[in-house]
Amino acid sequence: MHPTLTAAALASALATERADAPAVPTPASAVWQRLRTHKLALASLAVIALALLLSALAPWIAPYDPNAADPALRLAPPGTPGHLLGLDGQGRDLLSRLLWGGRESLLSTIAPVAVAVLISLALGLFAGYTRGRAAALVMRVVDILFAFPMVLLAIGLATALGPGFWTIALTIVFTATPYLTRVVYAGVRAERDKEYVEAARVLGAPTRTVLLREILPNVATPAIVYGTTLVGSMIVFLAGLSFLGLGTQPPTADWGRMVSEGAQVLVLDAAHVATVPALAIVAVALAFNWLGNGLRDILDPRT
Amino acid sequence: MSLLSIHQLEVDFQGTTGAEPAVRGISLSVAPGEVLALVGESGSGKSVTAAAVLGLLPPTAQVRGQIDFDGRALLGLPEVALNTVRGQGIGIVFQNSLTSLDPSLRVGAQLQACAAHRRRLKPAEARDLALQWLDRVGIRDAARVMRAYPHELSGGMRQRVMIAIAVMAEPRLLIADEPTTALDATIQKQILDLLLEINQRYGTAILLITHDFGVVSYLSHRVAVMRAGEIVEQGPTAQLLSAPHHAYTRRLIQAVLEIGERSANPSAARRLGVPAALAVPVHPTVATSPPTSAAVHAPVLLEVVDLAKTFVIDRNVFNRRGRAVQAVRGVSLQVRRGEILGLIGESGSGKSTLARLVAQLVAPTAGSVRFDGQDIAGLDAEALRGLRRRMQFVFQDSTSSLNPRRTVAAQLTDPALRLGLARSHEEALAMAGDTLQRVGLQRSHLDRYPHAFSGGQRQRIGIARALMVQPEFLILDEPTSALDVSVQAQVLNLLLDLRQQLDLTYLFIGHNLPVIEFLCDRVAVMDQGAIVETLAAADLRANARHPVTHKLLDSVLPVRPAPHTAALALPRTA
Repeated sequence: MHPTLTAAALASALATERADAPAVPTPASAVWQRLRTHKLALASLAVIALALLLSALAPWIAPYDPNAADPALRLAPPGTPGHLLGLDGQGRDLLSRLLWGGRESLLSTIAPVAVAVLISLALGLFAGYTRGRAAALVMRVVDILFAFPMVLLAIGLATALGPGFWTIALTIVFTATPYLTRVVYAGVRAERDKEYVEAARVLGAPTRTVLLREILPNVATPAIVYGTTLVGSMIVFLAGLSFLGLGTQPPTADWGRMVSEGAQVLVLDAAHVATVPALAIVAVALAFNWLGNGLRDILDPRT
Repeated sequence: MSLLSIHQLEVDFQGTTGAEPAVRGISLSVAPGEVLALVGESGSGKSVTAAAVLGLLPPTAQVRGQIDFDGRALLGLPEVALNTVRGQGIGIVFQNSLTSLDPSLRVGAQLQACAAHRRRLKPAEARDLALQWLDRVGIRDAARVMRAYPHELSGGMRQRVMIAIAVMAEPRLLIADEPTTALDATIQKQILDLLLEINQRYGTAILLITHDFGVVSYLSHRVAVMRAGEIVEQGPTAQLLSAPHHAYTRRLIQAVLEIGERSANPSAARRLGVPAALAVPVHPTVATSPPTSAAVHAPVLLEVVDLAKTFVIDRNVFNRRGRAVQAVRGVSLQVRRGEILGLIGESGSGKSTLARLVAQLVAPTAGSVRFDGQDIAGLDAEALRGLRRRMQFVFQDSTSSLNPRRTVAAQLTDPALRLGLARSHEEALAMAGDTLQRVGLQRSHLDRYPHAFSGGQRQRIGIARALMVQPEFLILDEPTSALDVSVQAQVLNLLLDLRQQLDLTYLFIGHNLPVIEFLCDRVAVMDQGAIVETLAAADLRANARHPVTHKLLDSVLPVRPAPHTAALALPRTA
């Protein structure tokens, strides 16, 4: 047979064209492999995992009752025998309070932000893909939420539900959702008109399939990345709510509340009371930011 | 003495896997007033060479060798000194005028800034100079253009503005990096004429970077052919194009189609790069399947009657009516079974909208589309899925037409499962592997993501995705316009192979007339949303009647015949 450019001949010609293109393993294991080589993301994940683990184990590993006071040792510095991180203004063990406080700070921020990511994916996909009145309505509500003072919302919720977990959780959901929805919405708008979406439709994909299988994988990453970084700022936001008496109630403490209590005794030459929880916040918030940045690379098959 | 001389230039990019050579020891020179074309396929290192001359390479690049401009060594020159060379000695015109001009500054402000950058000018003087140069690059209403933002101008106008900015400092060398690639053929010719005029009137030497041999032939005195970072051959343009020495240059030029080639090789077994006498049908059993003429008697597969589409744009809260744009107006056409119907026209003539109307991606405003005798406009979801199996679409942009976040396997198996061609995932996967092999790829490619493939390979995956559901009819929307010529030749041959093997019918949209002539049986010419003429493709020049068709044909740049006489004239001695 003459050397026409048949499919078989092309195949051999093409084999040389990009023979070096690396084989890509299945997504889940690929993500894990990339995570393993991304040192910063891996370290951040370790910090977060450690914080979660220690907080979860607080009832078993905390050396003291977090609310039990030993007035004799008020403001004792870190390294005091039996009190690794020292004691606070009321003579409570800081390590124990830190471990217990982590339960509040982490659980009441991570869970609501995760919920907010899911809600925004749903809202953003709907509003970004359909162009109707309902979609416009969703985005106008989002705009209103942007303009709404969240502290006012928290006060309202606290009145209805009483201060505590549900007030915090709902406030964070309402605070985070507008930002995340905007991110998803913009992503969907950009992806919606690309040719692969048309290709899916030509190949008989119903809207549900187009949204969930084609567009979602392309917009989920920014939402997850942004959501991860939001956790850090929400820990700080929660501290503000608790300071106003809308969040966790004394004597229970989250890290933010511990900082504000520590601030009151700062003048008494006891910087550690505020510094210890503040460092915990900084460490975890930074870890979430870096993990978010790392996830952006890790979840992208192109890198 | 040469104006620009490059000696043993090497450029490496420092990557994660070590140094990647992009340019490997090239030497070339440009004489004053000369037009040198640096031609090559994507990734050959031609743009990297230009960036090296301008000192615009990223910090990850390592540059070795010698670059002299006007007797002055450019490599190692500090940024400040380089700036005066870039501003006044060498001008540059980039490919994409939309991203090269600042989108938030008026055109006038950008021109005036460049004028004032060169020497101290009062604002009024700078404005006069800018107006003068806009006039010189052929912009008639210069005063209005000065007030416009870049996005308000057409692509051709923007490229003229770019050229005005580049030449207003009266550089002795102009580097033009694919200056017309993003433009329509008719506009391309105008811009090339402008570059030619600048070359002749001001004696500006031009280093022209292009992949298009038509442009090479039209504009350049000498040509250097690059491949994989090396210059494989250089010489006077006419000589090199008519009698290339290097095997690669020969293959490359052979892959370029020209108007009139089809009449030399009209059979259905025609393949690019294969002389007619040698062409052997891929599939002996269908070798007897009649070529062009018998398609006239085949049953009509697709019939479009009075199809129209009006888009409403600019509609908002304050303007409820919006503005109506008639993209397609009263189009009727027929495609017979086994035929390849070409659809040509300038950009904005409604070709792509028509294709999307036929594919039921866009709902028509009026008219009907009948496929195999059945009106498909009012089909319910179930019947539409049945139609999807029979009619498929191949998209233009091989990058955006594949989902970047899904593996090839997922993108090929999904439709087969959805439309009931495969009962299990394993069966679909086996089909996907077969289909990939059919388009010249390998089974092992299934697990990869689209980014791991070259443009040509991605376009094959796009074709494979359409073939997965075993359609009878393919709509191809400029599937080769973003591809290198050699890859384009492979894809065109693949399409011809597939038509024979699978008894396919194509509606092929394109703007490259030689490609259309080579591939198609009949051609419909669109202009402003309407079909102005339908003609036999075999010999476009002989069959063309309508002025629009003639205009399109006239803008085709010939490659091999005697090049433009003006370009042949010796450069004015500077």
